[in-house]
Amino acid sequence: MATIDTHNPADHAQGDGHQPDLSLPPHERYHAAHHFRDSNHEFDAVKMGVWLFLSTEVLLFSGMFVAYAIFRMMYPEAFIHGSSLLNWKIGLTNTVVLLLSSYTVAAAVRAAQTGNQKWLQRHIVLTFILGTMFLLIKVIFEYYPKWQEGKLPGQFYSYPYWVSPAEPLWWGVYWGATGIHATHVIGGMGLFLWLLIRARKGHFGPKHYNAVEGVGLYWHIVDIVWIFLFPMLYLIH
Amino acid sequence: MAHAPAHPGDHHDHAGAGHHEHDHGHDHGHVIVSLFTLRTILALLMLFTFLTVGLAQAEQLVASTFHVEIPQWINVVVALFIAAVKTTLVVMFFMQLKYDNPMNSAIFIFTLLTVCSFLGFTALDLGQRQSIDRYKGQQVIVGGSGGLNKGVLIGTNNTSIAEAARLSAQNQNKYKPYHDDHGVRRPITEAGFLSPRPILGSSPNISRPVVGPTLPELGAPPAGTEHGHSDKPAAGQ
Amino acid sequence: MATIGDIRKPGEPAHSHGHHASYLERKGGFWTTIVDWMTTVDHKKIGVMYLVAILFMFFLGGVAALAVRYELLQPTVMTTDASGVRQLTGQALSIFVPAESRSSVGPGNQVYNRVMTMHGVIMVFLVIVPSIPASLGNFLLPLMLGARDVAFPRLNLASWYVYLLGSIFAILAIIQGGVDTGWTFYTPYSTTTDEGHWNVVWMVTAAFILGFSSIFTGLNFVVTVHKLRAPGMGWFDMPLFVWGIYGAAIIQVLATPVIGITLLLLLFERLFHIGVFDPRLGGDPVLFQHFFWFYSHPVVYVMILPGMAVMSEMIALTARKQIFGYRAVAFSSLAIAGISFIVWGHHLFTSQGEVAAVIFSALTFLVAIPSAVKVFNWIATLYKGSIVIKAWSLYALAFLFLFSIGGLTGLFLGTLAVDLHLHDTYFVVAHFHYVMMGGTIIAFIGAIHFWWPKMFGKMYNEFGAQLGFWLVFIGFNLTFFPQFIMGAHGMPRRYANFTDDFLIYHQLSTYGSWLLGVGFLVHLLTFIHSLVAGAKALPNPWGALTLEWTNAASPPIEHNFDHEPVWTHGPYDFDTVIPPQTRPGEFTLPRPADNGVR
Repeated sequence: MATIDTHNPADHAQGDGHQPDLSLPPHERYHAAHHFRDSNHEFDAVKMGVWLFLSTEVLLFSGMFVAYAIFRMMYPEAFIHGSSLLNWKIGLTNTVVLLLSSYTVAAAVRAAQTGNQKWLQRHIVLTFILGTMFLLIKVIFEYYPKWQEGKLPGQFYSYPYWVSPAEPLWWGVYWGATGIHATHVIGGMGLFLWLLIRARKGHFGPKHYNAVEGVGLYWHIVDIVWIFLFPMLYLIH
Repeated sequence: MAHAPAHPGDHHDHAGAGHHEHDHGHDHGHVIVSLFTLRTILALLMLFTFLTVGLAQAEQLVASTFHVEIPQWINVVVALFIAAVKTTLVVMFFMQLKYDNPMNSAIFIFTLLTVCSFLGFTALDLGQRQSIDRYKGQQVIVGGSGGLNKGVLIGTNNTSIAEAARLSAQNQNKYKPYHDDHGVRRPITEAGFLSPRPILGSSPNISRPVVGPTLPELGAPPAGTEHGHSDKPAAGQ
Repeated sequence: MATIGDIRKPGEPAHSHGHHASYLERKGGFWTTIVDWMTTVDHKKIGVMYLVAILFMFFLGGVAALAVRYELLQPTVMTTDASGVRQLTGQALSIFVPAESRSSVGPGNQVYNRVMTMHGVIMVFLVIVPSIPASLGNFLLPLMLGARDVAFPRLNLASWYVYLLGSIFAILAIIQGGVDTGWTFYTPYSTTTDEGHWNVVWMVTAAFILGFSSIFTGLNFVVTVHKLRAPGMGWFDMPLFVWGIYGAAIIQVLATPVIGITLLLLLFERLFHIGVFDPRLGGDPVLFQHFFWFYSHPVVYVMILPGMAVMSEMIALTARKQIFGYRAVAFSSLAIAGISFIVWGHHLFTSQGEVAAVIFSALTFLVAIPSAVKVFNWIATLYKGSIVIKAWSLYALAFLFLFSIGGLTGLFLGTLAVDLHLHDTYFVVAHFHYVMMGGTIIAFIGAIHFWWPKMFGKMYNEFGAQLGFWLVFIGFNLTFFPQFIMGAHGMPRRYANFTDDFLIYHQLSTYGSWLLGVGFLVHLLTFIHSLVAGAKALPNPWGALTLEWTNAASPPIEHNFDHEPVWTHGPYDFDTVIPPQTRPGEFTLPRPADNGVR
C-alpha cells in the first residue's frame, strides 16, 4: 500500500538505512505502493485510472444527453417553451462560477507541483466556496422557485401555462440532468474537504500530489458537463 | 532469471518539470503549466461563454425584430460548436492532456466516439418511427390497451401511428395550445397526454379482446359451460 | 533458449530464499484469519472470494433453472373430475401459490415469471458478468504479467464489497417474492406493475450497484495491463488470456455506466413518474430498450471474451503447440470489443424502426468475423498438435463445438427477416444458452480445473472431473438442443405453458437439465475432495510456459514472485523451451521430424 513514512524502519528512501527522517514533511516521505517501480510509475497509473473513471462519468451523463436529444427531436416546441421559462442570466452566473472554480483547481494542482502549501490550501478552499456558490444559486434561485411554481417533472407538473403537452417531459429532462450534475458537484465538494484536510497535514508536495491531480480532473469533467448543459438547457430558441 | 531489486521503492524522485529515466519514454505529466497560461485560458473560456449567450440573444433579437426564423439546427450546431471549443480548452490545458501521455487522450476520444455512436443510432431509430406496415395499420388501436380511445380505429389502412395520434387528438379537440381563441388558459390534463390519475398497472378488464387461438378452460369457466369434461389443450396449433 | 527444470519438491517455490508462506497460509487464529481475508488487498485472495461467491450464486441460479424446467415438464391442464371439482394439473410451481388461488392459472404463472426472472437476473448480473474476470482474472492477471498485484489493490477490494452489497439487494428482492419483469426490465411493465412494487426497486438497485463492481474491476485491469507488465514483456509477448481480459475490461469501463443511467431513469420513472418511458406522458418505451441494450449487448461480449481468453491458453496446451495466428487472435479481442458497441439494435428488431433495423442487421454480421477468426485459429492450433486429454482439455474441445453452434445460430438471429419470426421464441433461448453457458460457463469450469493446482496447490481426481465433464456435456446438449427445434416451431419464450406438440421437446430439455445438475454436483464433490484429500500439486503440472506456471509456486506466495520476473520467451514457445517447474523428462522438446512446417 502507498504510505507516508511514519516509523516503519523497513521502508525508507532517504538512504540512511534505518530511521526515516521525520524532520521532512509528509509529502517528502511518500512511498509508492510496492507493486510500482517508483512514484512516477504510480502517478502515471493513477492518472490513467482517473481518466478511465472520468470516461465512465461522461458515459453516465451521455444517457441524459441522449434522452435530451431524442425528446428535443420529438417535441421541439416543448423544449423551446420550457427553455424560455429558465432564466439564462442565472445559468450564465453559474457557468462563470464553475469556470472560475476550474481555474482555481488547476491553480491548486500547480501550487502542489511547486510546493506552495499556502496557495494550495487557499485554492482548494476557493474551489469549495465556488462550488457552494453554484449549489446555493441553483437551489435558491432555480430549484426552489420552480418547485413553488409547479415546474416539476412528469406527473408532478402543475404549471398552468403550457404550450405543448410534452412539457412535463422537458422538466423531467431538466431536473434529471441538472440533478445528477448537482449530485456530482456535492460529491466533488466532499472530495475537496478531504483534500483540504490532507493538505493541512502536509501530504501534498512536488513529489506527491496524486490526489490533488485526480480530484482536479474529476472537477474539470463536472465543469465540462455544465459547459454543455448550459447552452442545451438555457439557450434554446 | 534476472533479479530485479528486492524491494522496489522510491529511488529517484524529482521536483518540478524535468525528465525521469523511464523505460517507456513517454510524458508522465509532471509539466507545470504557467499561471499566465491558466489565466489566459480562463479569459478565453469567459469570452466564449459570453459569445454563446450573445449569439443566442442576437438570434432572438433577429427573430423578433426582423421576423426572420433562423432554423433550429443552426442554433444547435453553433451552441454545440462553442461548447466543444470550451471543452477542448479545458481538457487540453486545465486537465493537461496536451502535455500528457497520449493514451489518456485516446481514452477520452474513444469515450466521445462511443457517446456519438449511442446518440447517432438511437436518434436514427427514433427519428424514423413514422411508417408502419399496412398490415399492422389495421390492428393499431390508438392509445393502446388501457388508453384513451378503446377500440376506435382512426384513419385508413395506410395511416401511420404518428398520423393516427394526430388525427385522434384533432378529432377530440384536445391538442390545443394553452390559450384558446378567447385567451382562456386550460389545465394540461386536458391535453390528452396526461390522464388525471395515471393508471398504474394493467388488468384483463382494460385489455383489448384476444383474437386467435387460445387455450380453453384455463381461467374461470365462461357462464354456461360448468358441466364439463376434462379438457386438454388443443392438439396441434 | 531452453531452460531445464530442477528437481524440486512439489509446492516449493522456484528460488528458495528461505521459506515464503503461500498466500493461503493462516496468519494466526480463527478471527485473525477472518479479518485478514476481509481486509485483504491481495488479488489472489480477492479472486478466491469472488470464485466462492460466484459459484454459490451459480448454484442459486441453477436451482431456479431447475425449477423453471420442472414447471415446463408438463403442460398446464384444467381437469374436472366426476364430482365436478375443477383442478389445475401440471403447474409444478403452484406449491408456492396459496390454496385458495389455485383454481385459476394466473397465480401459478406468476410464480413461474418470478422464478424465471430470478434465474435471469442472478445468472446475468451475479454470475456470468463477473465470472471469469473477477475470479480468475483477478487471480491470474498480475501473475501472468509478472506483477505483484493489480494496479489499484484497494479498488479491487472495494469492487468485491460492492459486489456483496449488490448481491444483498438482489437477495433481498428475491426473498420478498422477486419480480416478474424478466431480467430485461422492459418498460412499460417494469415501471407500472404493482406486483411487488418495492421488489422491482430493490432488484433494479441491485443491478445498479453491481455495475460499479464491474466498472472497478475493468478499470483496474486496463491500467494493470498497460502499466504493470514485467520487463521485456511487450504487448505482443503477453499471453492471449490477457488480451481477452483486456478487451472485456474496456467494454466494462465504457458500457456499464450506460446501464447505470438507464436503471436510474427506470427508478425515477417508477418512483416519480417523470415520464421518459411512459407514452401517456410523452415518453417512449422503446427508448428504454435502446438504453438497456446499449449496455447489455456489449456485456455479452464481457461474458464471452474472457471465455475465449481462457480458451486460447487451454487450446495451446491441449495441442502443446504454438498458437496459430497470435496477432490475429489478439486483435480480434479488440475488434470484438469495438464492434460490440454498434450492434445493440439487433435486440430491438421487432420494436424499432425499419431503417435502423436494417443497419443494425448488417452491422451484426460484422461482429461474427472476429469470433470466427478465433475459432479457426484454435482449430488450426489443434491441427498436428499432440492432443492431451484431461478434464480441462475436454472442456476446451467442448467449447469449440458448443460455441460454434451458438455463434452460428446467432447469425440466424442477426438476419432481420428471420429474426422477426424467431424473436422471443425458444430459438433465442437456446442460442444464448449455447454461447453463454456452452461458451463462457464451459470455459469457466474448464479454467477452474486448469488453474486449480495453481490456486490451491492440490490436484483433483481426474476420473471424477472427466465424469463430471461428460455428464455436463451430454446434459447440456440434451437440455438446449431441443430448444432450437421448439423455437423454430414457434414455442415462445418466458411462457409457463405450451401446447401438446411441444411436449416431447420440453421433456427432453428437462431431463437434460437434471443430467446437467448431476454433472455439476459431481464437479462440486470432486473439488471438495481435492481440497480435503487431494494430492499436492507441482508448480507446473501441465507444462505451460506462462509466468504463473513457470515462476510462481502452487499456490503462489503472498508477493507472487521472489524476484521480479524478466520475460525471455514467448508464452507458447513449446517447440523451443522446456517448461520449468515440471518433473524432469516429463516434457521434452518436439523432435524436428515431428514438426514439419507449423
